[in-house]
Amino acid sequence: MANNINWGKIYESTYWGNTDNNISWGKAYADLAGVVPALVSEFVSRVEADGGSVESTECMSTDLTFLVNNPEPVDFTGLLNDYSGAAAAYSLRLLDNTYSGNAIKVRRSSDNAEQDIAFVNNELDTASLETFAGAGDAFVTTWYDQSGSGNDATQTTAASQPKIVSSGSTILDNGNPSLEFSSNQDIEVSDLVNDDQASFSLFGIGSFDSLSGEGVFFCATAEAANFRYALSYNRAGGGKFANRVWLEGTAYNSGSDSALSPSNQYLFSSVQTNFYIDSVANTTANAGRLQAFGDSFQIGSRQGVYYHDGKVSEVVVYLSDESTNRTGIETNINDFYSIY
Amino acid sequence: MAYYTSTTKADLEAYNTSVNSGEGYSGTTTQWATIVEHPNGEDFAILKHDSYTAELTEEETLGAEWFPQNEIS
Repeated sequence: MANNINWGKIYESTYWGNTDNNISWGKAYADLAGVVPALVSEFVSRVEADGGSVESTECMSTDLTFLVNNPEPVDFTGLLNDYSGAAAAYSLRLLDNTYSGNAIKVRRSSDNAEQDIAFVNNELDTASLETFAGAGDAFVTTWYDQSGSGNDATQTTAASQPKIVSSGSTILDNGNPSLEFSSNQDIEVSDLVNDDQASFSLFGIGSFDSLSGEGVFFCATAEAANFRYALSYNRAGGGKFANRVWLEGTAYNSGSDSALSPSNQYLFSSVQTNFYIDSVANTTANAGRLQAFGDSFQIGSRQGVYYHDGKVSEVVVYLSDESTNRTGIETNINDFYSIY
Repeated sequence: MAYYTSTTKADLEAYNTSVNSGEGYSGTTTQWATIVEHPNGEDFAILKHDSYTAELTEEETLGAEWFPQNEIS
């Protein structure tokens, strides 16, 4: 049979002649709302014209109504299904259709209770989040890693936890849920990036609220001094992005040409020695050598200084050269977030 | 957000402990705030919680001198 409806449930004891019909049920579901009685009537007519009989039109109506209200979910393919191998993947949308864990764990301001928040329809369950937060605020204590590597990012210090609900409302950036960082918040994972990491690709989405100081979106820092990767903005003023690596105290820079605008959401991609903003390569000199070093990886600061003042919605890190997949990954991200 | 500062780190640790006890953090959250050490090694600061006061010096913010910038060139 060409369709995938549970025919036994609808037909009851009836038979509708040609079982190879080609009704597009996905479209039919959408079109059925409000027209179930008429459809049942037509269906009965066709069955009877074929010499069959309908045992219970009432039951048919109930079944069709159920199918209208509960259509089979459209197959979902996430970013990590198409581009696997990430070392860490943090997002407030589902990135992998095999991931069954939660999106975040939050602490609410009213009594400091904590609760996991999952996904609904492949996006953050903001209804549960706001119900839990009540009229107060909620802060992210854990941003779960969807890559399967177990690299959950956590913040155990209350004053340093990024905010996700403000006065009962989910914080949004360009219309989508986002973590808000403001001068004293970051979230961290240990041992994400190896010392002397030869290959490194990072895709992140965020915005910044002001250019009052330098802020760091992401940072990987080694235990040894002067080994660091950081993606910052307004470095030395001017509002430019800087993709910077320190190796033995020498800075290798890769930055944007022009000042960027506060409150705009950006997609930035650091792929080996190249740096892209909204999928466009910056035209200043790229880092001569870009390697990530780190025993710790922070989102929202550079090890407790240069705190990010703005929002972050998604970060995906690969410990591999994703040059050939870069545009595909960027397209996947932009299709959802509509950044550029 | 305001800060409490002191030359005695233990005073700030005690403040942190009092907030932790009052707030009853559990789960992932283990403490109110981390203590910031001034590069001079003699001064310390902690973020003030709006609901908890202490007999400590209060500063509206911490100046840039609290945060070393040696790697920024």
